[in-house]
Amino acid sequence: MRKRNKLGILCSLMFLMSVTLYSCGQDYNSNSGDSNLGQDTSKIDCTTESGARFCAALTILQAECSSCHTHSIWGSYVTEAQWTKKLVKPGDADTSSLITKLKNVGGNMPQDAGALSDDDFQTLRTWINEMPTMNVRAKR
Amino acid sequence: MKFNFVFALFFVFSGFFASQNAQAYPNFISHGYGSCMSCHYNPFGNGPLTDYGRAVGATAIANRVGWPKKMKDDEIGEKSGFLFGEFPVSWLRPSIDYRGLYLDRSMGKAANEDEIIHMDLNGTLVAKFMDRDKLIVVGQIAYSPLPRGVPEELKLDEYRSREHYVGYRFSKEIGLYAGLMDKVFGLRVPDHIAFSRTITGLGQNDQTHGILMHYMAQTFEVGVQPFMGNFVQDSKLRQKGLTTMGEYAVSEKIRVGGSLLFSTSEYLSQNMFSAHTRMGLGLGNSIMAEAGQVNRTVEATSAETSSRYLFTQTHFEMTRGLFALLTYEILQANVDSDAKTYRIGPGLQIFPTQRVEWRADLYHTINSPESGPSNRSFDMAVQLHLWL
Repeated sequence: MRKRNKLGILCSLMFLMSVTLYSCGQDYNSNSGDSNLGQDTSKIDCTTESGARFCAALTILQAECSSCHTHSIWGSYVTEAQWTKKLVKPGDADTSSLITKLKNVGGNMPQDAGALSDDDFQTLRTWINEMPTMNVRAKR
Repeated sequence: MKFNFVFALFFVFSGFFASQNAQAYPNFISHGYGSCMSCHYNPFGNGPLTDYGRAVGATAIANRVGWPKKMKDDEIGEKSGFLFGEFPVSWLRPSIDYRGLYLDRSMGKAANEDEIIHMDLNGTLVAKFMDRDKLIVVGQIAYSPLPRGVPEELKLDEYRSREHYVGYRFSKEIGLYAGLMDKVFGLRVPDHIAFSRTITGLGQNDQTHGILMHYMAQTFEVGVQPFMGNFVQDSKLRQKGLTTMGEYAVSEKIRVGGSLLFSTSEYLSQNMFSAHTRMGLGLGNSIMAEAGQVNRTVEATSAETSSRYLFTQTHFEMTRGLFALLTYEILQANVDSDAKTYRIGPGLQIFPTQRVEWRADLYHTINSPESGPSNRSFDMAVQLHLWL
């Protein structure tokens, strides 16, 4: 009886070890994007006209979007090039998914919160519409 | 007979649709099961069921569609083991579990989108030893898809282990568990989109390595769990801290409890607390409620945010295996703002036969103050849960 128990315990521990080894590697958890929280934005030049538009938009994006979009690391996006990779079409707010997904235009974002204020919504639109297409592409 | 026919029809019909999630649940206090340990190896629920838990599921919770009329419930209970029988190795208990979700969001709107998510497919092995299974070893391997939008460069795995731990019960009252487990906090409901699960960061993939101390008396149950985060994550990301939950049994079918959690990582510190109650109102009917607050501080900026939530859910057992649900939730994501989100949803939870659970919920979400055309939405979630 004792022999059986010892063998069982040994097998179980080996199994447990193999499970642990198998699960090695980064898993997705709710906190997977925490390293992007509070990114340093001090290096962004907000003194130029276009820089000021980006800074204003980024403040809204960080407050309204990045806290939930941790898994898609939006919190780490501190350059226009990062936003224009998929979410923003420079010069065309109406077809940019960042805008079309918003509740303000019939979308469902931000989830579990109301639509953006009109001021915030217009700030984002202006930022995208005024974005110089060529410059952004060149920066990538 | 009529009910069985209705169940059979529903089962066949709903098979054309598909799938998300739910397990032995806190609302089963209405069947007299106040402590999760009656049916689960983990004293606070979730994870693999004990032999007794499987039998209870088969004979008291689920209906008996597909079983011969002459077959007694006891005999059906005997078929509740892995692959419908008694596992040949007396100290091993394997199980396989699948959960799928069909999610239809923003129904009737331009933003409408639907998808099928295979939330979880897992295989679990429990090894149990000594008199009354005092010593247990639990290991699990699972498939779990990554959420949309997760960048490839993060190189996250779709395979994981959600639990692997060793547990030892010194007595009926005292147990010690060490390994990867769910955090003990609040009501461990299977509603993964519930604000009480999302805002607290206690989702289906948020297990942690740690040590769980469990004490259970006649009218009182408490868990204390120091934890170190999930070791598969970067050490800087891991939330390390302590969580505790206590429940007091006011009567056989009424329990009240409270939870407290403190944790911190290189990037984020958080503390949260909650109060909850579970009440069984006659056989199969119950009310559950949890209210809590989560306080978070971003380490890089010292920015602080406090959120509050309320979760309530009622279950009404219409017949064996068929429950009508009503879920009502409130979220105030930032207590400094007036903005609140309300979510109310009727639902059906069906256990047509052992090893099968269907659940359908219709959620109406209202964002307040209402300032735009999209501040109200309807979402539907249909879940399928199968286990062997």
